Amino acid sequence: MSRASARWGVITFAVIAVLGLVGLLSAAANDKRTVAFSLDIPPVSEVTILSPQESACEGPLETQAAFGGIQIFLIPGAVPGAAFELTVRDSGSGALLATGHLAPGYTTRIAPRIILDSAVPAGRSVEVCLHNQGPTRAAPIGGPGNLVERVQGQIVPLDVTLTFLRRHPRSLLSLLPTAFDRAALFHPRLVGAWTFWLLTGALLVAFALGVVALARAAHGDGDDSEEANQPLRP
Amino acid sequence: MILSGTVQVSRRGEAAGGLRAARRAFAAVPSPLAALLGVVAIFGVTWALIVPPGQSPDSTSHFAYAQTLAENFALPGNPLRPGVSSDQRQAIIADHVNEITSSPLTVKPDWSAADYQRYLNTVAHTHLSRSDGGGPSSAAPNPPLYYLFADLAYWADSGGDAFSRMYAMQLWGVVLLLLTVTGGWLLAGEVLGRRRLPQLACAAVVGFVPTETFLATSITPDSLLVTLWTLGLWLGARVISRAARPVDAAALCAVAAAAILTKATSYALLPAVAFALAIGWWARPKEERIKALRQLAPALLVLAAPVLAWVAYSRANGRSPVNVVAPAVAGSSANPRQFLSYVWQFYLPRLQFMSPSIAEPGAYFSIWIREAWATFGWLDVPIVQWIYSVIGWICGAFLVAGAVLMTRVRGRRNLALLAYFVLALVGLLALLHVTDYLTILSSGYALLQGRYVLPVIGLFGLIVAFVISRLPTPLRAPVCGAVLGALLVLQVLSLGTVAETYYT
Repeated sequence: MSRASARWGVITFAVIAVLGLVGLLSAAANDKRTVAFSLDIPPVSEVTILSPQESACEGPLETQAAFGGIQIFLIPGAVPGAAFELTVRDSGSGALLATGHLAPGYTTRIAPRIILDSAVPAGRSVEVCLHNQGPTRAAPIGGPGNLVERVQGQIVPLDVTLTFLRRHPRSLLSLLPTAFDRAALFHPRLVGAWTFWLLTGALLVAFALGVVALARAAHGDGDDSEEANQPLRP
Repeated sequence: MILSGTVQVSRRGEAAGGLRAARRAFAAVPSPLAALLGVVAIFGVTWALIVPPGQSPDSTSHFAYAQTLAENFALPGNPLRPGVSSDQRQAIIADHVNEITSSPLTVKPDWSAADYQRYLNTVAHTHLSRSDGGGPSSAAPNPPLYYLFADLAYWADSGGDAFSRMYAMQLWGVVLLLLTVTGGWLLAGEVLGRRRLPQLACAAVVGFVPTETFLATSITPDSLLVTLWTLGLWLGARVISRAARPVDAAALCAVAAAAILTKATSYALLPAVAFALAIGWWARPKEERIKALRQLAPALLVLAAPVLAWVAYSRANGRSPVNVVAPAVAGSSANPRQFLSYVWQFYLPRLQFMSPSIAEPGAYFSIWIREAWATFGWLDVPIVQWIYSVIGWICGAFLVAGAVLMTRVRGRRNLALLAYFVLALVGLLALLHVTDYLTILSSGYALLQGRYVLPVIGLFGLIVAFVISRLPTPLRAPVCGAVLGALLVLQVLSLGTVAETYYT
């Protein structure tokens, strides 16, 4: 195999690798994410049916990140769907931290993103309440979870699905440190976020090793031409 | 004193000899393969650590099986015991991820540092039994070989918590990935000659199809299965090419037996193995054939003894040696005509005289392309959809080019190799489709998943290598470079998809 051919092999590899990686970085920089964190409760069934002026409260729960909105899942009991007030309170003092509202009038199952009037910081222990403001009944959706869910003060077995949203969306690329911090949990104790930064660097080294593999293969490809005449050939 | 000095010198001498032998062995590895193995190791370790615990198909059951074997030296399936141990149960409760009942695309895991700290405190202050599992699970009917392999890592990290042991097992899978890639390299070398570019292409395909890298570093017998089938394809080619030398025949039979003791799917490899042995034996000069039969007998024993022992053990303990499909429900009995129609419609448009298929028509793309190439988690984490179409077109181009080139293959050895590979492929597909068909009849649900076809990934790698080997010389390196570059970019995309799906 000629040096020129080997060189073209490496160039082709490099062009595809660079274009691919730049494309991925660009996509990650432009992919805006709104989810701050969730509670890992799947929206699989009705938690309860809230009549007008009834409330369902969930907590205490720790805020993993700052948020300025909450997504819930609702099924209207009748048309028009009920209005809801959503409140976030400090679970220790009961102080009101933020409030949001859902307008009435929906007709089918919805997953509205309710904007809060102020941002709630990370690291707080809070309780989130849904208050049905009428005029009809509605069912918040949730599933099995490890939190305490109270409907009109009574504990119920399922938890409401809540997804906490950022006030300002962040790019996927900027979330890399968050992703690595999270990935380090529930791993061997030796593993930390640093491990994933190191591996990210190692992936770049892997591309360089790929160049080495290709260049060496291209140079060595003609070495065994006699033997190459033996095997599967037309 | 003198004696002690002599012993020390002798030990030093042995150590130096061992080191020299290791250096010689390392030097014998072709440099492109060594570099490629470095790339594979980096991606493999990244995969092993980035996937959250329990987020590969049935890994909870597979860990439970391995733990039962490691702690109790017994196989699971006892109906009087729980499916998982207290140790594993605590881990499942702690991270929530294992128990999530909907896709991470709908609701993300919560990644609570406080939950993790609580788990660590619980583990530090509570005795959680590791041996009280062993009950029924989806993995319980499997043979034990993979779990024994995984237990080497489990035992090595026996002082760690459940997560630590899970990840030790996943990291141990990188060894299987390296072996699979080496098998791909050897397969292309045996069939096409020591031509480094085709060998590199074959090994790269085998190692960097993202689903394969993901599975190899998950807790699942599929990881060992792919390794053994790839080595089996290489050894079968050796047996055919080199007139069934006893050592090759024994190695092929050992690998086939190991594959059967890993997963019952590997019975599909037996017709191809029998064919390779027969052709290899027939290639001997006439006067040597009787002697050759005597030489091959130990190899057959290597295959038969462990398999028959497993069958006998299973029967004696009330287990089924193979996975059993429940009988068809009333009014839906199996018939060959319906089966053929189902297979036809799996791959091709329905013909006018055919009834609608009992399965999803045209499912080959979603299963053999989408799932087999790049779908992660519990089949609920796909990559960007349009990339599957690109992969499909590229695969199609290589398959068509390979098929055209194969029509020009001449010579007894080459045709025998071709027949061997076709037998392995058709054997696997036939077994999968028959099982899928019977499962649909009995339960109404399709069984096929993309990962089930990965045992023959070496054949796809070989086709890519074959096409590259037939290109004009100036094009070989650029096409090989394009294949390698595209595979590595696809790997990064897949890792990024997994990371963003679970962790953002």
